[in-house]
Amino acid sequence: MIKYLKALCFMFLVMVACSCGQKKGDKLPIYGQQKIENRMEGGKTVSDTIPHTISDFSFIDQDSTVITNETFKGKIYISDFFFTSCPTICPAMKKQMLRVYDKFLENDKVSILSHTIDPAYDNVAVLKEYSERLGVKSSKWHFVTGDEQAIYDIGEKSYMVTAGADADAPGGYIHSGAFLLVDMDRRIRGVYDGTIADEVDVLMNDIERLLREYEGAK
Amino acid sequence: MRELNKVLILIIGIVFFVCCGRKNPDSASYLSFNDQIKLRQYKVQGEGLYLMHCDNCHQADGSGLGRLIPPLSENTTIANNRNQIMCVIKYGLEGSLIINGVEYNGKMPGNTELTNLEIAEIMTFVGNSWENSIGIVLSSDVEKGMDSCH
Repeated sequence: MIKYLKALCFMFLVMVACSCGQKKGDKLPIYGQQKIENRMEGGKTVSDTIPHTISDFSFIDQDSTVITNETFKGKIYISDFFFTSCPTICPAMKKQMLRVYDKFLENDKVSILSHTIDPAYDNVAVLKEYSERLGVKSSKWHFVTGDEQAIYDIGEKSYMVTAGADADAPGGYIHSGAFLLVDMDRRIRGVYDGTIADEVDVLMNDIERLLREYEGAK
Repeated sequence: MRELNKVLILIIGIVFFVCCGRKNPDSASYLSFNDQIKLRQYKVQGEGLYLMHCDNCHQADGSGLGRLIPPLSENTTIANNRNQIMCVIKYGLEGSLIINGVEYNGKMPGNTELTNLEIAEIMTFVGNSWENSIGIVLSSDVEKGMDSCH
């Protein structure tokens, strides 16, 4: 009986140790389709796994600054899609994104990128007024506009969200309410429903985990 | 035993009445027990409608969004402009307005599909939540108020 109990205790300890170790070491998943590329090295074929990454982009933010992938070099960022005249989920998303903004305001390694999907209306001036009325700094939270097709393309192909014109949707556009967490290597590491406070709690926790991942790698 | 039950119900009723009266000293204390129940019913229905039609922009806690969307919480404009608010819920509003000393300049879409009763329920919910206490807004109030729109 005592032997049995001892074994049980041991198993319990092992389980605790494992779960603790896992917490420390486990990394956020990498989203998207991976590619396998073969190359020759020293006469042998070597296979590389290439993760899905955000492709090159160039948009203009509320300060008329050109925003590219380089803007987010050495930073992780949270991306979403919206439009200023949106009558449905956008204000709820922005309220939640404000929580993220407030929490990481002092951390230069965290940035936010909101794309308008109605660039015809949401020009630089409109985005400027929107961001000022929201009360956020343009150095932290970029609201970008640009070529309509380029925005829809990066939404669907890079961030893998729905974004586009739809005559049947309220306001004339259909888009997902997703927040996407992008790491310093342009990879998507998390997808969250930006209209739900609980999911945004998870996002804020994951941002800290992702930052620790990079700190640990140094 | 029956007598005791009656007394108990009476006591509970009085406690309920006194408590509710204290909560809304300006608006609800003069209401009869039946009207208190009616107010609660309107509020419950109104909350469901609020979540469906208003919550996305004005937020679950009525706090609005920056200087983009005005708050409904602690909003004195509601009590003093009942008829205008009814019209705004139904037909929307565009342009500059000042709420609690802050200027807003946006566009609120109308909700023309809402019935008078539904507007009354939404107004009762908003008007008696988050430090507001305007009392009940009845369907008949909205019917009258609608004449003042446009």
